[in-house]
Amino acid sequence: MPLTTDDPDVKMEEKEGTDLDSPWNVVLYDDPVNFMGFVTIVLRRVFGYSEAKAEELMLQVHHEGKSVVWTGVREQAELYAQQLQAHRLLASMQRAN
Amino acid sequence: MRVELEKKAWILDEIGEVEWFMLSQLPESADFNRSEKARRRILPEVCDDEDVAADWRDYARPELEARFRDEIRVVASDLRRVEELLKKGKSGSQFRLKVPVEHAETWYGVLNQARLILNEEHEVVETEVSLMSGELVPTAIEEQQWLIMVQYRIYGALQEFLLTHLMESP
Repeated sequence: MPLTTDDPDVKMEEKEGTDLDSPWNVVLYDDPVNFMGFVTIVLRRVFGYSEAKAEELMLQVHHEGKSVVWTGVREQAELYAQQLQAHRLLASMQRAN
Repeated sequence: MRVELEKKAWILDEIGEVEWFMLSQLPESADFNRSEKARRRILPEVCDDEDVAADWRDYARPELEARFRDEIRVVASDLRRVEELLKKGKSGSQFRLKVPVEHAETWYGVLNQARLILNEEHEVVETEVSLMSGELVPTAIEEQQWLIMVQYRIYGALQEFLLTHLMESP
């Protein structure tokens, strides 16, 4: 969204690539230490997923090494990534586009 | 060592001296500042974007560090309440530890953190896989690595108990 001002001397620019509305992925990575059952519990707790959905994502992480477990606005993605890391899961954020 | 579940506590009973030594090492083993490898695993970078990474360093990471420190303090405090039991007819000391049920998830987290750090620093999983596949023979493993593997297994067994009996799905 362009930023505006009534003052003609003030030039405001939107920093390219940092708009808050563009979607972000929360990515969960496989690690050989965390128990699979624990990862499923964490996915249910953090995102409110059903057991089936959480297990499907956990298995994708296990077999493919990583999985996009959520996509949405940056602030929420940061919160989710923090919650995953609080459970000692390896998680990162990446721009979705 | 036996693990029992009561209504308000879980109990580690008949803990032998070696097992107690491993348990007493838990706060130190879970210390994410003990090495660069430990810190990188427990507090990893979250994003390549510098704006997001800066926010993370300023806000999210300090909160995680505080949380992890608090959890280690809870476990260390529980460990200090150990009872030493000298049983007649048995050589050596045995120990008993009673942990409140409401600390179960904190214990799980700290045990998990210690295992993650042990694996990061000593490649425990890789060694175990090599042993199972026959690439590595047991005699090739040094005593220190064996002790770390035993410690890793004890922590993992406790985690499995907590996960099965005390950690509920939402």
